Amino acid sequence: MIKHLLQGKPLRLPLHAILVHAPIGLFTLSLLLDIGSHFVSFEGLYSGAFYCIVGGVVTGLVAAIPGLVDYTDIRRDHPAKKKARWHMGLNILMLAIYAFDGWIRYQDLYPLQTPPLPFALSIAGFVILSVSGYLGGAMIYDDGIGVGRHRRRTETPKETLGIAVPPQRGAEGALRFVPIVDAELLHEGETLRVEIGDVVVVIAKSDGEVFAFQEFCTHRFGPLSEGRVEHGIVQCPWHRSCFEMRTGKVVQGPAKVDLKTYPVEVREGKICIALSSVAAPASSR
Amino acid sequence: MVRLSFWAIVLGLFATLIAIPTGLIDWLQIKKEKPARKIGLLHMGLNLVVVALFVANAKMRLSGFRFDSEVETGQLVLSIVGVVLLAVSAWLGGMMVYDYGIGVARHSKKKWRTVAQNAGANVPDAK
Repeated sequence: MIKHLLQGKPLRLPLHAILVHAPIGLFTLSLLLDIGSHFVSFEGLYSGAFYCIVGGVVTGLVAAIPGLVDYTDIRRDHPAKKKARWHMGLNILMLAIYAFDGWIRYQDLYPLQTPPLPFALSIAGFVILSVSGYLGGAMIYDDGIGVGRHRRRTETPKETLGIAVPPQRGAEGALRFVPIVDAELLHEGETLRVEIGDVVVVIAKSDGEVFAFQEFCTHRFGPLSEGRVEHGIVQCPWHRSCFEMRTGKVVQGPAKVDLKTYPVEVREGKICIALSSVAAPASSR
Repeated sequence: MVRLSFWAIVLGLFATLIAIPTGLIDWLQIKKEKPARKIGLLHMGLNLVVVALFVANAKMRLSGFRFDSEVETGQLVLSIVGVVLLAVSAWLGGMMVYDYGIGVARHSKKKWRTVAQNAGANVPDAK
C-alpha cells in the first residue's frame, strides 16, 4: 500500500517523476541567478540563488525516496537497471556538491556577484544534474520504466528465470515439454519471465488457466510480462495493445501482428512449456 | 524575495519559448483519432492560459519589484491560480506519457525490435 503511494499509482503516474521538477527547477534558477549577477548588479540575486540551492537540496532528498522505491521495482536483468544505478549515483554526487555549495554560500550571503568557488560548484552540479536527468528520461522514453505501471494489479517479475535447453530426445519435431517452475508459485493475474536458450517467454495465469507467449509486444516491443493480465487477455503496459493469451490474436491495437504462443501443461505440479517451437531462436531459422 | 519571484517568473516565461514549439510538434505527431490528442489539446490550452496569467503577473510586478518588500495580494492570487492550473496541466502531460505511452520507445524501437527478434518473438515487417 505504502509502496503503491510512493510509486504514485493513485495518480496514475510515477511520483518520483513529479517531484524531481522541484530540484531541477530550483537548481536551474539558482544557476541563472548566478549568471545574472555577473551582468547586472541587483541586490538579492546571490542570496536568491542560495535559497534556491537550499530548496533544491531539500526537495531533491524528498524525491529520492520514491526514486529508490522505483529502482527496486526494475527487473534485475533489465537494461535500465544499470542506467538507474548511474542515475542514482550521479544524483547523490550532485546533491553532495550542492549541499557543500550552499554551505559555502551561507558564510557570506551579501556579495553582489557570485564568487568563483560557489559558481564553479554550481556549474559542476548542474552538469551532473543534466547527465543524470538525461539518464532518467532515457529510462522512461527508451525503456518504458514506469509507463502503464499503474494498470498492473500484481507485482511484476523481479528477475528472468533462465532455463537451459535440454538435449533433443525422441523424434525430430516432436513436442518437448520443459519443466519451468512449481505451478503453485504462479498466482492469479501474475506473470513469470522465462528465458529458455535465447527465447524469452511470458507465463501468465488468468482465471486459473496458465498461458505462455512471447515477451515482446508486436507494436513497439513493450514488456508483456509487466502488462495487465485479466480474463484471458494481456494488455501491453506501453500503448495498451491487447492480445488473447490462448491464441496470441490481437484484440485491440495499435499492434497488428499476433503473438507467438507456446503450448503449456501442468505436469506433476510443474508448469511445462513445449519446446519444439521454442527451441529454434530467430537467428537459427 | 519579491525580486526573486519576479525573476523566477520572467525566466519561466523565457523557458516556455523552447517548450512551446517542442510540445506542439509532439502533439502534431499524435494520430487524430487517439484519446491522447484531446488530452494534448487540453494540456496546450491550459498552458497558454498559464503563460497569459504569468505575463500579466510579471507586468503588474514590473513597477514595484525592485523596492517592494511584500508581494501585493492580487499578484499573489494570480501566482497561486497560475501554479494550480500548471499542476493540472502537468498532470495531463504526465497522463499522455505514463498512461498513453506518447513518446515512449519512439527513439528506441529499433533497438527493441532487435532484442525481440533475437528472443524468438513475432515482429511486424520493418517499414
